[in-house]
Amino acid sequence: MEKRMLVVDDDAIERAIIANIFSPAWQVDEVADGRAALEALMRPGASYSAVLLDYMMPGMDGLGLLEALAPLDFCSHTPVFIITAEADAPVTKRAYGLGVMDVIPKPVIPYIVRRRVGSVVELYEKRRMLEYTVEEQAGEILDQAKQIIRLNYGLIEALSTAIEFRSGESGAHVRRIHDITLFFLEEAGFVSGLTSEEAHQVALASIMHDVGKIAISDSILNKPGRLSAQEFEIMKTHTVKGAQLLEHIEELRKHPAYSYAHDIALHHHERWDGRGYPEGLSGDALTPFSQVVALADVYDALCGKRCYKEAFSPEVAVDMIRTGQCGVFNPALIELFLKKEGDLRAWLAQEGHDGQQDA
Amino acid sequence: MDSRMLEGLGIDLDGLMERVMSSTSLLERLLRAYLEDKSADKLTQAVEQGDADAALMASHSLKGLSANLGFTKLHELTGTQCSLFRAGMTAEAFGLTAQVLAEDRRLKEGIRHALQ
Repeated sequence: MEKRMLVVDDDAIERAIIANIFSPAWQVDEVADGRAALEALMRPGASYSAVLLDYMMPGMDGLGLLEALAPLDFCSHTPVFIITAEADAPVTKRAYGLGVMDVIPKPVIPYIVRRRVGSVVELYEKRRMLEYTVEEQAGEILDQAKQIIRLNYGLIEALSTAIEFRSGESGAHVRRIHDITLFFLEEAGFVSGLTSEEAHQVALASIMHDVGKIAISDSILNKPGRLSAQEFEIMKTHTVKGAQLLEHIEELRKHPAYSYAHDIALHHHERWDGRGYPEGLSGDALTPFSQVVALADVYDALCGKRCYKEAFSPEVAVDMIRTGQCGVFNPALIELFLKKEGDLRAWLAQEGHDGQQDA
Repeated sequence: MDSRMLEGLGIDLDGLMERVMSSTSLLERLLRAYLEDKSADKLTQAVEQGDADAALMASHSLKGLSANLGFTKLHELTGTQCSLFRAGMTAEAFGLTAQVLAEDRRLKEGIRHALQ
């Protein structure tokens, strides 16, 4: 592609000499003063690879033009050369201070001006190309990272769903726990100051709440009707076992969702009054994240069919939670839940609260 | 175009040929542009009106073109004149005008002749 240059000089002879030096490889546009140069440079679609600028001109001189261009940071993307017979120290210093790439003495010597301009233009082009390449590669890396995140999410969801399947759950339970958790954190704002990214990490962590069930035998997991005291003690271990399982996956420990996942797996059966398991923690000793997932788990279990019960309508489920028939929760969380349950149902009916944006 | 006549005028033809990259057509074009140049007239007018700024601008133009065209003597004269103007020695600078104009006239006549 033919490169374009703007030569700014009030001396027509000078312009003709410079144009002759750079043609035919360059398209050389000529103007006689700073004002006309500014117009040419600001014209939409103007794309110059170099500007050769006379220092002393009537009207707007070379430094005047540079001063007008300085706020636009023009010299950082287009090299400007000052051509002057008065290359004294103050002028040179001022010109460099305004961003010129080189000060070329007049009268010009063709092979010198050609080499100086050529080298700098090449440098600018290489830099632009490099910036473009880096940008492109950064985009590719970002795409790959997104793909890995999606894959991570997919694998975690697959593992969690597989485990839920053993107790007759469908994949929908895992998805709903994710969505309900995300709703409480992002839509309802249960935890103030939480970023969207953190909310998504907690939601991702929530789907692993029951991974410990992989260590519970089918006879207990799928027993219709009540568990015996001994069976229930075994059933309760799914919390500790889940946390242990997560601890053993080295790659997961580095994942930003890990600390949430560990906490949630271990504490999603704790109660606000301290009568839950496995540790019997109460009140603020429980993280808001395990509290939210505990409520999400109860709400979704009530609304769905289980091996030990039929599905309740949402209204009945809400009432059972409100009246404390299904555990004791943080009053602030219950209040938020009662206020927002309608919104939650609408939110769950929408598609696409998946882990695609988990980052 | 008679190059020996140009050299006879005291023009640095080697330097000039280098600047035009040995293009005699460009060289001719530039010399004709000089013949049309109005800087000398502007200098005369500025000095008559006692306008030092305008005189400096005109002298500076002559200095620039004489540097490019290899007019060694005119370049020296205008160089001195510009320096005097810049140093605020306006009377001394004005004093050089006659010499500058004479040299300009001599060159124009000679070049007109050489181009015929």
